[in-house]
Amino acid sequence: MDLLELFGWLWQHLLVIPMTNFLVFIARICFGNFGLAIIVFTLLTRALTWPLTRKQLQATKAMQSAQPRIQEIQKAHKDPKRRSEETMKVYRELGINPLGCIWPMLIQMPIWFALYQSISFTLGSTPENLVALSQRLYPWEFLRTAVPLDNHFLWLDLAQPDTTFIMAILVGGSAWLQQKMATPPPSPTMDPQQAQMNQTMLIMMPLMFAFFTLQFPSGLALYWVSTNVVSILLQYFYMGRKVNWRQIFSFSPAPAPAVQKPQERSPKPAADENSKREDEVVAEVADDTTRKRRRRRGGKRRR
Amino acid sequence: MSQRTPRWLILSAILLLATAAVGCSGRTAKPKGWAPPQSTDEIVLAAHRSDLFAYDAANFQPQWVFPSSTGDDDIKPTALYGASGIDGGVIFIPTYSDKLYAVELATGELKWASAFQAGDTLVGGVLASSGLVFFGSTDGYVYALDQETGVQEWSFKTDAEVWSKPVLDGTTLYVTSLDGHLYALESTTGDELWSFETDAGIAATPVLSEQDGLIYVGGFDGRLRAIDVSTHEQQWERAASNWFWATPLLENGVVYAASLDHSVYAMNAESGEDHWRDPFNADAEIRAAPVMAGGVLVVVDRGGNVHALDPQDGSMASETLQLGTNVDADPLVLENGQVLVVTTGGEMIRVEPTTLDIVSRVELGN
Repeated sequence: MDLLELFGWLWQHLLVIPMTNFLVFIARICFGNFGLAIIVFTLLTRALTWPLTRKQLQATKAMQSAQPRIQEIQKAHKDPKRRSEETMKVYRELGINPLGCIWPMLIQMPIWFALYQSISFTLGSTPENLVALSQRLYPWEFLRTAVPLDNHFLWLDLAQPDTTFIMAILVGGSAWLQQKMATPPPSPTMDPQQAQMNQTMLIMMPLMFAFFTLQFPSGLALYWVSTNVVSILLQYFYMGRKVNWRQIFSFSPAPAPAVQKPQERSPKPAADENSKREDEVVAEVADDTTRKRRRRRGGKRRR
Repeated sequence: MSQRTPRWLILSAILLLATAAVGCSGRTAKPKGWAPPQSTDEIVLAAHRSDLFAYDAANFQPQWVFPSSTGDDDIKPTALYGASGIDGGVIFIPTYSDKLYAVELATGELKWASAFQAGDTLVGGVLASSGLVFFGSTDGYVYALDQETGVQEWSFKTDAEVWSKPVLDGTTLYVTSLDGHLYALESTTGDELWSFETDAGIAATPVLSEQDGLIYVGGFDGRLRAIDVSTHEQQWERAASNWFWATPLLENGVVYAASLDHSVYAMNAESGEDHWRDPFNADAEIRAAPVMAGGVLVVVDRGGNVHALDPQDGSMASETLQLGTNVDADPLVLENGQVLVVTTGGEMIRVEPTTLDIVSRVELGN
């Protein structure tokens, strides 16, 4: 067995097959309704991965709060080395790990892919798929007798793509909202390239997922919508319900970057509530970090 | 000089990443089909994907190909799973679309494309008898159409997909459903006479023993059952560790049943007692029905391994033949005693059952 085969075996036996069996188990409990099972499964997996999600949200929140200062540094310093040093200084000051919001996401990604595969297998959309499923189920009567599952949920045949466009709209819309909530609002100090990238991602990713919805079994689309809705709720509650809905649903283009002199702090627009809030959050995070450091120092002294 | 990354580059990168990520999950699976080869005195039929190839039974010269022989470009079978019904020089072809087609056996010309339309795909086989065509659909219905016109005579609703081929005994039609029932219907009206409920779905075609008055049916509960057709009660059952999907074989008072747990079981048809000391363990799961040819039991597993077994004790009569390609379709015993195996890759292989020597190996369509 070479390394690739070993990886494939581990992938199947440690992730995909256990997930598939778990999904069938839930479906059996949910009266054989696979749509309900997908929603319950999404909630359970999100609950299980909550420690990772929380870390990601913490990191995202901290990064967002540090944005005004980072953008000022980018405007103020042309030298990349100096710019990088100053940025790292801010990160250190606020106790932020720049990769903090990436690694929890990276750990969750294999889980998501395995989940997609599990749903595809469990759907048994063709007779061959159903035969293949028989080889992936554990030899427990409770699981083996649960198949075939009821693929019908609301108006959907979960094994087939939804041709009504409703799921495509729901997937695209929820993905857009979730991403918009996680993306820092455009500000006059933001790097135009960054602003453009954010804007492009904000439009392209939901569009792509909406397109995929038209190609993939609607069971996967149901998973995407469920997981997006959970993410939206988590972000809403984790951010302390401080979501600026007016700003989120504002389709006005990002304000043009202000022309600034080097080393000059850009004046904050009086009406820009977001910038004001960001400053408050920066202060909160900085206070937290200072408090933590003090506690650590105090602890060391006590020891 | 501007250092701005071009927008097309950003878009391409996002597109590539997202496609790679979502591509890992697998799209809607494409049906391949496993329609079994069939034969009459003149014609041998073999299917691959959405095409049905007809060969001269005497010399294996190609005769026609469905659907292209019909000249109708609108016929799109998608895939072929069920055995076709053959009666009165006409072949009734179930397709993995929602349509059934009647084709002249000699020429491949279309007799009728049924005006009737099922609510979903056709996976099970077709039985053509007594001027009617009987078949089930993924929409959960059992249908009976007029052989001459294709007009629907009656339908019967079950609670799940009907993926097996109906069996007729006099005017009683037996059919299984993934709702876990074996139904006995009045073949002229479609009225339910009685039904037997099992613990899970049934995709296998049942086999009837008129002599013993028993009908044998295997299901997803991993049990092969013998049900008395007069009392409608179970006589015996044999448990396996995975589903039964293949049609059992009834031969000389013994029921041979292959399971997706890689095993072949042999039971006394009347008592259900094990005929072999141990089940035979194949190299892979078995979906294709076992056949008896040349005095040996031929079993083909999904891994393309052909086994010849002594029907008395289940021992291997000759060394396993490895075709090197997957097989889902039931094999066919030809008039000359050879076994015809059609692989999922579209090869038609003739095998001598006693020695498992390959007689010929041709690609369908060539």
